[in-house]
Amino acid sequence: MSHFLEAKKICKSFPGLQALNNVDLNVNKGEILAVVGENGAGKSTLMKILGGVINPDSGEILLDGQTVNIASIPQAQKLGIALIHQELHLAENLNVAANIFLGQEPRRGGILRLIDNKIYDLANQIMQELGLNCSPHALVSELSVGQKQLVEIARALSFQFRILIMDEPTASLSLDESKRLFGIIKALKEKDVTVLYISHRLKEIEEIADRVLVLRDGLNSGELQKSEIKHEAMVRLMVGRELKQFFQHAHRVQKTAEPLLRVEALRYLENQKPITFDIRPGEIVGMSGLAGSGRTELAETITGLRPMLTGEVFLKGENISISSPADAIRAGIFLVPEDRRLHGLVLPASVKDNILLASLNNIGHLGIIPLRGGDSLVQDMCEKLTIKTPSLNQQVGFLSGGNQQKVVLAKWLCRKPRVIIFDEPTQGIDVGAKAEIYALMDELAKDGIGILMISSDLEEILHVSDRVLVMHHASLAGELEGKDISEESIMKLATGGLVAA
Amino acid sequence: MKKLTGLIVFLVVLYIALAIAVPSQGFALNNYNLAERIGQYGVISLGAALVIITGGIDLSIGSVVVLSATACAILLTDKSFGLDPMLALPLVLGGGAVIGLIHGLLITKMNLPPFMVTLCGLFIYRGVARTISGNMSKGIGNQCIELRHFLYEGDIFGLPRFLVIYIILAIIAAIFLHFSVYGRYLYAIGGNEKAAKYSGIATDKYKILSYVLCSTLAAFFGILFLMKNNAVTPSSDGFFLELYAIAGAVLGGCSLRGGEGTVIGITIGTAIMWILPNLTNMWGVPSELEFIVIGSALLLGAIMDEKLRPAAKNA
Amino acid sequence: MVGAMIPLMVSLYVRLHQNNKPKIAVITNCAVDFWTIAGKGAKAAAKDFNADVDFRMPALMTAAEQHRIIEDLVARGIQGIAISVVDSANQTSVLNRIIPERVHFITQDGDLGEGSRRKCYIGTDNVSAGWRVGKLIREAIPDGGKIVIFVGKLDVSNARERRQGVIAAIAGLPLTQSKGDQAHKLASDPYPVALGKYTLIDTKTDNADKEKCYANVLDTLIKHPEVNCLVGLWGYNVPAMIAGVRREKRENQIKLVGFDEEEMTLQGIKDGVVHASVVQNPYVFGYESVHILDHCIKTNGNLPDDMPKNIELEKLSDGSHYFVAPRVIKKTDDGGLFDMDVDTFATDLKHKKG
Repeated sequence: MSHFLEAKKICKSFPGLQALNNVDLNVNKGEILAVVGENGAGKSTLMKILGGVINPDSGEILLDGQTVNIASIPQAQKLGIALIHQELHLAENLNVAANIFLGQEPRRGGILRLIDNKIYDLANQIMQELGLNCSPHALVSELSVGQKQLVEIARALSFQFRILIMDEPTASLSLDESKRLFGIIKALKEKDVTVLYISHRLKEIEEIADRVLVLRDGLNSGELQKSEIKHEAMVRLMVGRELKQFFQHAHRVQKTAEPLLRVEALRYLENQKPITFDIRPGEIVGMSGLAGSGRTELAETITGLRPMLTGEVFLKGENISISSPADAIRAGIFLVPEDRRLHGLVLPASVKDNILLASLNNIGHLGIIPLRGGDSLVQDMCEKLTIKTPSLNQQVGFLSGGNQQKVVLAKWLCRKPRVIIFDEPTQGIDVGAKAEIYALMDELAKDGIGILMISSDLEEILHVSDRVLVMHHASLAGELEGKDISEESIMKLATGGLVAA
Repeated sequence: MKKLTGLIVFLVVLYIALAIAVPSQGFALNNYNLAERIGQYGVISLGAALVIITGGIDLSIGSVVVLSATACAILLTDKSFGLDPMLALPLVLGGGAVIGLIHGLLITKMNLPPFMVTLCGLFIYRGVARTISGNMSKGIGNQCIELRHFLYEGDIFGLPRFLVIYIILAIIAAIFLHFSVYGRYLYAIGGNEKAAKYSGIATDKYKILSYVLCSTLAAFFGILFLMKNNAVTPSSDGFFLELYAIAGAVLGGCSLRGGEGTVIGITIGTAIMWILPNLTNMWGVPSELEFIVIGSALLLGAIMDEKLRPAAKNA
Repeated sequence: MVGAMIPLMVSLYVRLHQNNKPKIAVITNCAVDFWTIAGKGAKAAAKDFNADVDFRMPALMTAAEQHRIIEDLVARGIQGIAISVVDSANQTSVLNRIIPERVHFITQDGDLGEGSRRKCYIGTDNVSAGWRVGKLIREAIPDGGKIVIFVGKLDVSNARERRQGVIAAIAGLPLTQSKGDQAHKLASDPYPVALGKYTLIDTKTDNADKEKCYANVLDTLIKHPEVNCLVGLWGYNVPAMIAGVRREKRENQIKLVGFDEEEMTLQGIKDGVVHASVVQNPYVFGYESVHILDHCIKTNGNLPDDMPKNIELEKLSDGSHYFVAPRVIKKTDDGGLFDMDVDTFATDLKHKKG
């Protein structure tokens, strides 16, 4: 039997990375196929190829038994393929209705191509179906992340399609919003629409998928039929080994230890519930929450990137004032940012220059940096962190994600860190490098450094943290410790529910 | 519209200041002159704004103006051409469109930065204008009286013709930008080019369109310039015009990052840009102080605009 | 909000300080030292004749800018305008249009073309001034040689007229024939122009850009090593020429002749690098422009006849011309009517620049 959509032997490589290696995918009409895999497994790349965003190096795509060439987004749309991207791609300067219908506005006025005002009614219909409660006239820049995500979904729903590809649509949705989305997906299935669904939330997949395709490191790792879709089975195929082998952080913190860092009654927004927490020496504190729940903003406030409206920060019991990144760095509080390419690294500069960036004052004399100054320090760091680079003068932009992350870390280890805040430390990093990063964090903790790890990867939170803080709507929703830490308890806090005592 | 509060207040203040400074017998004449200037320079502000809305920039406007004015003068009056205006004008406007097309293609297809492409244009077109004119002023003397009458001389219902022309262009631009699919795409490209691309919009095509329109409007301005001043000196006319145009657009609410700006705002911005030098002349500010006064006043306007804007939302 | 009050306060101040003095404007074609001196003259006249004088130096040398200034002055109720135009041919009809009948209007330094409503012109007779420069060239290189002229632009009439005068004098034509057909023909000959034992190799323009002129000088010295005389028709050309020959260390072989009274030019004359300079009298332009306009306003359109002796009145077919005699400045005064030695001149200039 031939499938409705079939992708055969798809290959795609990026500089320094084989993203997809002879990957096969097939799906039937009215089927919900979940595609799972770790970050960097190639899911998004495969979906982008099917959506016409990028072109494969080789391979064949068949639709209804016919070979098709999906060279561009308009072509994909013509074939009836709609793609909801993982990242938000919205024109924030336009209103909701304009975004939903961008590129396919209902028109009148013939050659004048005026935009028909019924756009707002049409938008309203879709928005209500999705439970997006705002005006279609509202500017997208004023929406919350969850609402933006819904606009992105509404946009795909606005036109006729036979295949809907959803790349982590629920990443920033509340439980309610997600539930509603599943309802819509099921209704689409009834109408014989094919859905390709990517998510990290394996629970969701158990709930709605008809079949699961697992990718690992750009290869097909296996398939699960409806009856086999179980959390453990998926994880086994995703990581390629039993879950037990997953990194385990040695919990060795003394509960009685004096806090290393204490944040008291901190606010970075007006009308915000003050945030108070502490980190003990050698402790890895995980911080969970939905995207947009304020985790990154909190980290930025503690490290002086954002003005602190109220609150105090104590380091070893001593009140320190942080009003700029320089203050935080002087105190030994460092941030390894979420978007390392944008905020962590100077991409066109060399490995050496990046590592030394925060320590130039210590190396230079009177502002002049000796030509080979710091070479030995950089060499040490590269060895200690096993940074794989052809030379110290390699442009950092050409390194793999894992090595880039280590360069960011090396930059801070050149100074004397006391607290390091990791924001999504393993996003887009392959499994092997992930383990190395975890080991490094463990190493740092062993030296008595306090670590705050912000992560959307529950697996990671579960296995690396000594203690977990959960954020919801820019406030601390709760704190979990020991055996209270579970996927369910975290999600409940993150979506605004209270943990059953 | 709330965004424009500060600007409107500033414009009103300047106009009141003007009304006080101008002797009453010259007041009507000065209003007429000012309206004519706003109409004239509004044409290039609109052009600059179209490009700025897509997140681009066009620094070649002044040189395109000079080149088209020179070419227009040559086409109309040179012995070897001596074309009918019905033929010469489309040729000049078409030339402007071709220049914009070249800019657009270089920027989208070769991925060159707009700043560089149009800066090079700034040099090249002035050089071309000086070359084709033999580095001499080119005038239309007493010829083309009909054309001059049609575009420039005499009022329509008491309004200068340049202002009437601008009002027509502004209405077209407002429909284009605020009510049509084309304009919607220009804003989307300026706001988030990737989002526009992912929505299946041929972003390159629309960016090219914005440069074509900008250069065509600059060429049209060149014709108006020629009608008003009777001649163009390729070596010295039109300097800084692009900066006045860009300043008018930006003052009127076009963000240089793209995606923002309204025709009303652009009009107000242009009005402020040209009411200022008029006011300094009325004050009798010595030539050497003129730029200090204009610069400081613009800064004042920008500050008022910022202060009177409703509190910015949290990002 | 306090800031918003400032423009209103200034306007009120301007309004309250209006007076009944004759309102006269003098408009230059750009902003250089030459015009600063003219401005001193205009200010002195304002005091002497009790007139309200607005001296405007546009930042850009464009007709459009001048037109905008005039529009504003007219709206403000100006009574007399003296202007140095940029483009003589094409500004004529525009100025006829934008300057109303009630405003008295004359040209100074740069004149308008035929059909202009201007009352009169006051300035240098540029052909005759050029002719004087040509004579000085013959004096500097009596055995003949190769000459290059430097000037800002050739689309400005004073540059073209001076150049014609220079060529006429080098060719040996008397002053009276310097405006004749033969001089005209020689001035439009292609390069190199053969003028007896002299050859004019080229005329280099620089769009009124001193740096560009300096580059032109250096390029010329390399391209034409045989050149033995450089001529600058606009004031700033001469300092650029001096810097150029000094850099090439050829100040002893190459004679420099020029126009105007830039400080470096005067120093060059003292040092013997510059043979001589023909200077105009911008102070007189400024002073007499105000004088003429004041008289026009008070007598409803009559021209004054009480002019000092260095001003020659010529009634030509297209109106009256007041020609202000140029002066030849050399290291020592050799006795010409309006000639001066450089030290006397420099002292006088210092006084006029204030």
